[in-house]
Amino acid sequence: MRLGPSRAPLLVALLTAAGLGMPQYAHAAERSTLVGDPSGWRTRTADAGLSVQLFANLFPSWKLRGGATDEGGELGHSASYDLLVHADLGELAGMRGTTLLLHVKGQYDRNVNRDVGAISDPIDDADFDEPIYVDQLWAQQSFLGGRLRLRAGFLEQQTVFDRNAYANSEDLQFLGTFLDNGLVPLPNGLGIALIAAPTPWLELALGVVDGDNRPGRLGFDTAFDDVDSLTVHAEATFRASLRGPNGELPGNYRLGVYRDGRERVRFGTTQTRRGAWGAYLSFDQLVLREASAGGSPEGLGVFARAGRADPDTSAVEWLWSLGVSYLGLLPGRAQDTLALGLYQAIASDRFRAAHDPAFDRETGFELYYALALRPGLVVTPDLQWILDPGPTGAGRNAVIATLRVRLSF
Amino acid sequence: MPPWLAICGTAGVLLLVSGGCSLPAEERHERPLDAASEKEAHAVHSERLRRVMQSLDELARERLPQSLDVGAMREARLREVGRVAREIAARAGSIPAAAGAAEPEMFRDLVARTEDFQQRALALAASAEAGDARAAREKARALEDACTGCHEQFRPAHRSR
Repeated sequence: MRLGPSRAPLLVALLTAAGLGMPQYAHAAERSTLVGDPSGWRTRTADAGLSVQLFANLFPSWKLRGGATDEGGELGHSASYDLLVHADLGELAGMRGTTLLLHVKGQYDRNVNRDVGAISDPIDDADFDEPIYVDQLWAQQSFLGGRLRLRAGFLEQQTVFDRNAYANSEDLQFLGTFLDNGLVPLPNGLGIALIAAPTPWLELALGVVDGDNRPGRLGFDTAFDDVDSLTVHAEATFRASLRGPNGELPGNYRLGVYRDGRERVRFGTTQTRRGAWGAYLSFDQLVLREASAGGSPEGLGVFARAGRADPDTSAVEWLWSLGVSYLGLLPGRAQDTLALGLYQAIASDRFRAAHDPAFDRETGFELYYALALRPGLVVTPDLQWILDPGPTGAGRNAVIATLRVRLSF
Repeated sequence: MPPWLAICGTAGVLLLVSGGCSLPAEERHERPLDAASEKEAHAVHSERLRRVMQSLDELARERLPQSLDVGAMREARLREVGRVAREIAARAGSIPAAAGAAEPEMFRDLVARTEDFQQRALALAASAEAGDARAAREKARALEDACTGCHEQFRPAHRSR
């Protein structure tokens, strides 16, 4: 299927306008799902401390121009689902401060990622075909009134580190990898995380996880073979609570360092090495709260990230991103989100010298409007423009349009 | 990790603890109060409210998957806050008699404080039932101030008797 590049903004505008024409459901139904609350089952289990949630995400995409392949349009598709079970064992069984999380997931197809050929996948979570696998399974115990939490099991470090209120989920927010997360390696595997909140405004997190695990694997064969393969994160989060005319304006300012336990090839050599170090910053801040927002975070939020990775083993040495996100911008559309993000990935000199001096930097823009059409159904027209997609100098400026459909059951 | 192993393991753990799930939270936490004195009930409700509020705060700080709808879990906790706050308000009227204030002036002061305490508990219940976690925290702090003020005033005398 071929679509002219000039039609992309028109297509996105038409889809958004069609969605805006539909009435939005009442705010009280925000937490509702497509199946609702049959016989009060969902409410009863939630009150008992058990939460079972199922989501499906569909990502039909069009690469309208440019990228790694020819100039023509390419149609792609990927999908994923998430089954999440969260149990508060304090409520369920009197085991105070103990929680359990199971996250089962499946995904298929690579969408248009290969056609675009960018370092930052325009459609995150389109990495491989796996009908079902365990993404997370961990238990957590809190101590000292919740000021200290110890989590152990099969962890997804993206849940713990380099978080961001406005740019951290391809299912809900930006689709592009470099807007969801920076350069930080966030493997899934056996590990532990310790989170301490000594004061209400400071939180410290330390995590150790197996850097060698692969999707679908239990990880016992790689987790304990070599200390050198452990990926370690340390992060400090400063919580700001500014006072605005319409109430509190929460914000989070994170500073982190990591040690990458994966085995990486050193550019220009045949040697490999583990233990590359990197550092990152990530902040989000609500800057404008709407007067009618009440307890909901309606308003304008801003975010930014920056990071540096090891130039010997990472094609991208520096990465920065920033953007804005507005929840409830249009009257009567309190649950819609309009967001714009921008990233720039700057190549490592050593990578350029070894592979392609023509690749200097990749820059991407992403604009989306998440339409909450009915309880449990969010449709998001999304437009991305990637300039000089790497990691070679041959990639041509690419335009990608996506219509994300998220179903909550 | 083989999904069947994780799913069976989690299901097993949940089955093991499902004894606690067989009754609604209200019955599990409140049934022991049936035979309790008003003083004991007041203490247990206060402790229960403190724990649920703490759990609400922990949830706000928790690092969970972005996909997870934390709002549904927050609403469940707020429902519990509202229910316990209403229970506290309903039993507040018995505090002056249960405290056993001997002097009339002290008793009048205790009644006035109790009425204020009751109103604050009802305000907390209303915020929690409206699903407004931010307002509920503020109202809970106001209720805690009433608790502290009353206990500081009357507990030392109560203990000395």
